[in-house]
Amino acid sequence: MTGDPLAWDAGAVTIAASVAAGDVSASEVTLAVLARIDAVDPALNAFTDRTAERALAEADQIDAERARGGALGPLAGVPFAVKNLFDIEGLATRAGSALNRSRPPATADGLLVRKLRAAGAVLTGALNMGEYAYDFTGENAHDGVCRNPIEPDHMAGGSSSGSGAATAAGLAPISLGSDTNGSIRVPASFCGIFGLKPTYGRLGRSGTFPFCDSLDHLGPFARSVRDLALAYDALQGPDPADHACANRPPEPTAHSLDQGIAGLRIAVAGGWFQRRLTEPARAAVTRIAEALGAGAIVDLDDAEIARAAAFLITNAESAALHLDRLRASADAFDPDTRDRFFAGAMLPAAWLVDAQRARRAWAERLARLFREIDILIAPATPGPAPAIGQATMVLDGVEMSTRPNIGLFTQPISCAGLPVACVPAALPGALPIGVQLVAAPWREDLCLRAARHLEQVGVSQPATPHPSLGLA
Amino acid sequence: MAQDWSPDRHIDAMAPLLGLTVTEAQRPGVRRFLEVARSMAELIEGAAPPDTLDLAPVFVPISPKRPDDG
Repeated sequence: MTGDPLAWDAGAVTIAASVAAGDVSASEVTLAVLARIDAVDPALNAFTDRTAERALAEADQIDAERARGGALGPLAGVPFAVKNLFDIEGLATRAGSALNRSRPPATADGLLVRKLRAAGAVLTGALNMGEYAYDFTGENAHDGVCRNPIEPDHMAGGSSSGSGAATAAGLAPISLGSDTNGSIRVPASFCGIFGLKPTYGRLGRSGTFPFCDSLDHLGPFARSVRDLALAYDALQGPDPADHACANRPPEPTAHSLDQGIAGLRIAVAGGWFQRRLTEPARAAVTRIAEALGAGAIVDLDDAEIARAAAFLITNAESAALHLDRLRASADAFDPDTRDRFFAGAMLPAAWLVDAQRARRAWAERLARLFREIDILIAPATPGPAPAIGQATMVLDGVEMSTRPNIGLFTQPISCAGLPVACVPAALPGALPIGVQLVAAPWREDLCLRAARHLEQVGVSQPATPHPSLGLA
Repeated sequence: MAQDWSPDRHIDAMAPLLGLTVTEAQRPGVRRFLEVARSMAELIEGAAPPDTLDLAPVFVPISPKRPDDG
């Protein structure tokens, strides 16, 4: 990555250091990013709302504070954008839907938006996403498809499609997304960047539109591990308004990134996680495993049960959330999402109880595993991003629906609420593909240390955007 | 699992109970997702030991005390 804070691939660390040193003003950085969004986003459709006026005002405040000799936050002057299920003051929180556009504007920013602002970051807008987050593709029936910056005829992935695309294309050095069954990890994998899904309950969710309470996580995207850690550290802390937040005191990770992997017990997920992989996905896992000196392969065939449990919990909880909307305005939904919600509303209660029993059994299974290991390596997606509109894909010689099967490997991991860093693992010039680095609860520091090691040895590098975008 | 289950009969029974209207055009999609859900339920049936009811979520009673109360 460049040391020029105005370059398309300038990271958060570079920008914040340059602004703090007075080498560049926050206003200059913001203007450069806004101009880049104007130039590039029409080809990607990552943004649904731009908050340019607000961004420039925030940048002015940073510059005025610096001129006064005041203290600047660790992300001072760093532009960021958020998935449009995050509340942004003055905007209706659309959550990828048509129906939510008629909601009153949010009266305040969501908690994590406020935290990044408190760290000095500058909000540039809201990002495209799958309708009500029930999506792995990034194809939104109302706001249009979000394109992959690396290969624009391919999916950006979802449901945090705009977040993955914006960060990959240098339109948002930091972006925020959500992940219930894979919605941070899939776009990170498809767009060739780093994404962090923290432990369930780590980051407060207040001021966001929900999808599935039992499984919703929030987290950051970035083009470097240090940027990811910087953002994650700024996001931590209690959230009394989120009943599922563990309210743990912040456990910073940025200072320990370079501790390396010596002494870490690292294994590769087998069984379920080694079937239905394309060759690029299999090769990516092998590359990461070799670079981390991974030892054993752990058979995790019961991951299929975990995936099924997460599917049923997601289907039922999200359907209950939308029941009134389904009664009054079913035709205003994307048909694919609507029909999922209809079905989810009709599931037998016994299935849900069974799903919660299975979820606990799986979490206990993984807890026993993580007494023996520190990091588990698993594929993020079955393959690189499919083409936009591709309805089916072939895995292990079997043709299957694309959309639900993109999350085969992410869904079992989030079912147990474990922290995951998704790292880019493709060879240069190939379509991006990510790999999951999973740790025990509350050990995001280990995920990030392993990710940093891969970055330092050159195995995990962010992908280069398509030449047609005029960036690289 | 029941061998003679019909997603259409299920929709016919459940939709009115929930106050939902599923049109003929919407029915094939809803049927498909019900069948997927059923296949998922079949996978988890019997996964937990019998006569146990250890659920993932645990309810924590909510104290009337506010955080800043003494």
